[in-house]
Amino acid sequence: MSTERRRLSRGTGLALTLSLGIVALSGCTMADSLAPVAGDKLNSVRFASIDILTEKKIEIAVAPVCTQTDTEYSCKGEAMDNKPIEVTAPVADTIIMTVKVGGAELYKGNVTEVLDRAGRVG
Amino acid sequence: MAHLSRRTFLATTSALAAACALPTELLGKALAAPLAPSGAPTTLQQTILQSATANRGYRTLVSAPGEAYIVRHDILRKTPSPARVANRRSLLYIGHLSDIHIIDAQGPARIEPAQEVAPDLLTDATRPQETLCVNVLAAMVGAVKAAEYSPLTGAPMAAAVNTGDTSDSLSSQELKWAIEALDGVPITPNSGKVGEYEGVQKWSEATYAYHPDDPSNDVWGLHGFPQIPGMLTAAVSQTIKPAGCPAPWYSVFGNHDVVFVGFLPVDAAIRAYSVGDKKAVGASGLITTLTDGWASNPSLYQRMANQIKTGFGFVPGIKSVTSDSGRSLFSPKAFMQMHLDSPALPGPVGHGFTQANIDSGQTWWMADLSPHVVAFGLDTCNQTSGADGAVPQPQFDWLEEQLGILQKQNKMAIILSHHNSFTLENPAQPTVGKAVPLIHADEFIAMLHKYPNMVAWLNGHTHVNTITAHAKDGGGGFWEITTASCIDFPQQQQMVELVDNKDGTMSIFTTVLDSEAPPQWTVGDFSQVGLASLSRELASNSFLSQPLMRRGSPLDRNCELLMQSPFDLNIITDAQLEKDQMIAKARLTAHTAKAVTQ
Repeated sequence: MSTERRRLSRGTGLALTLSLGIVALSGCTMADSLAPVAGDKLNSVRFASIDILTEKKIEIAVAPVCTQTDTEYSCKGEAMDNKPIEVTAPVADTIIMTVKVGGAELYKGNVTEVLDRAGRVG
Repeated sequence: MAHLSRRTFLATTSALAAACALPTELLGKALAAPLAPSGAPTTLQQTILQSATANRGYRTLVSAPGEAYIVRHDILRKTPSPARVANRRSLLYIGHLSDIHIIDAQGPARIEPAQEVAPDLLTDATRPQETLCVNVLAAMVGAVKAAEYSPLTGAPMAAAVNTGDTSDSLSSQELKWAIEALDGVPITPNSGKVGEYEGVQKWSEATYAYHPDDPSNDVWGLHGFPQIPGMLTAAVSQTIKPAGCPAPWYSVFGNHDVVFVGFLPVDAAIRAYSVGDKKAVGASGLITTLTDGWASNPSLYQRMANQIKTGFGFVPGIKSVTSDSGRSLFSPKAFMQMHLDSPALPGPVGHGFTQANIDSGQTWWMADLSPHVVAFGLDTCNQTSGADGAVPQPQFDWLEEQLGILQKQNKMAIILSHHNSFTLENPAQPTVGKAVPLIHADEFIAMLHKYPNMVAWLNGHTHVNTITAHAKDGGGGFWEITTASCIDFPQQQQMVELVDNKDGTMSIFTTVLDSEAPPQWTVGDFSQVGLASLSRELASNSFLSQPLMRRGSPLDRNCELLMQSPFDLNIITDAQLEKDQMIAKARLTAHTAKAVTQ
């Protein structure tokens, strides 16, 4: 299976990718439009940070609003006691985020592990 | 505030009984019952999570505790009065469906083999659960029916809205099944050969697809997906009997309803391919189909040669299937026409679209959801290419003008669109013809902020539960509510209720619904809801689509979203609301009575 897939990835795969590209580029500004439905990793950081905040019983006044640069995901929000909520995470395949409330570190760890914990039971 | 007089109540009851063909006594009893929170089975009572125990990475699903409403202060920015809990009154209670993605998995016009070479990019080219989507929609409509009275106030559902991607691959067959499920029409979700599945989930060379009959040689089997012999045959043989939406439902375009598989332009060759008897199983076959007509624009002789090679089986990666003219790809006009052609009940005729849309080609609409709330059904899809969207200038100008009019009339506005504010950046313009200026998220939100009566923007597209506060500098703003999908885990939709807190504030309550299918699939259960249950389990194990993330956070699910009232809500009298609710209750009662007699 994996050998077959590797073979296709080099030959037919390249052709298919090119074909999809040609199809998509047949309109003048289409190249810019081809970004897939966006934001899964940014969403993951936001959701995981809120999971942590709710787990730790932080009352939230403004839910974290997240942005992304080439190197970092960052989110800012506010707790009910006016303390700032700050979330940062370097862009990487395995995302490690740091969640701070009022400057104090509440959590530092793997985003996927938080989402898995929230989505599983037993 | 003045309540409905006894005389008006009796007169209205008689009129509604006649209109709904219901016995006056039966309806009178239903209408006279005071509103009380329903015990509807929602995620307030029970949620569905993955089991912590895995078998080679594959996990079943189990029920978990419900989630109470969480109060969100992002826009109001102050602690609300506790008195609102006792004083609140419902202004509007509606269902919100999105990203239904009905798939005719046997249709030739799909791009499943693309997953063989670009699995991370094209995660949805084929899904393990794709033959079960009509079961899921039927089970979701069942959940909406079960939640037809609000779990918060007991208010009756006035309408349901569907924010696009009703079909998956632009197939008329897919759209037909979706409309039938919403209308409560029985469906056998099969095309091509009667009673037999023909497609990549049965062809052994398609190792990128899940083969429920024997997954031992495919990539899904390597991830622990189980052997479920008979699943495909059950999926295409069974006649599904959906409950149908109990209230009028409205629909807007999604990108999968406008461009092929949600991001590619359509041409004559792919239209012909969709109703033909050849289907790509491998990447080389897909290349032939893609380049045969679309972008390469080969000569007539080359195209003829390609047709001959394909027809005689000289092209590898293509297999023969039973052709079906019902699989033809629909145009925007046909999409609207199919909505107009659907049965009169539950209505409304056209589901937002009117004959004027057909005549003019205008693909957006506005409609009264109640005397106090108007919905704008926008078309944010790009007909040139690309998955993401934008608001074309003419539609933007029209919306702004209408919002201004409603503001003066003290009516609230709800916007319905497929795309959300994170995916409203598509710049694609056609090569031929006049370019239309496209408005993107920042400019769109800035315009909406000018109108305090614009309270909520309901959308989908990302298949993720997300609630975004669009607070305005200096106070005010609106809420954006993005619901998940029926196709990817968690397969959740939601109910939305606008509530007057009678203290100068209002709240929007969001209540997430799981489909009515059992949390845990029982091996061998191929019943209508059993297959929907299996679909959810398969979807939750997709290693391509980050399934658990799609649940959103607790602040994106069951919430009370606070905001300042857009105007003095006391001008909406209790008597007016009671009359609106009588009409909605009569519809629901008639829908239930019809189901009982069938």
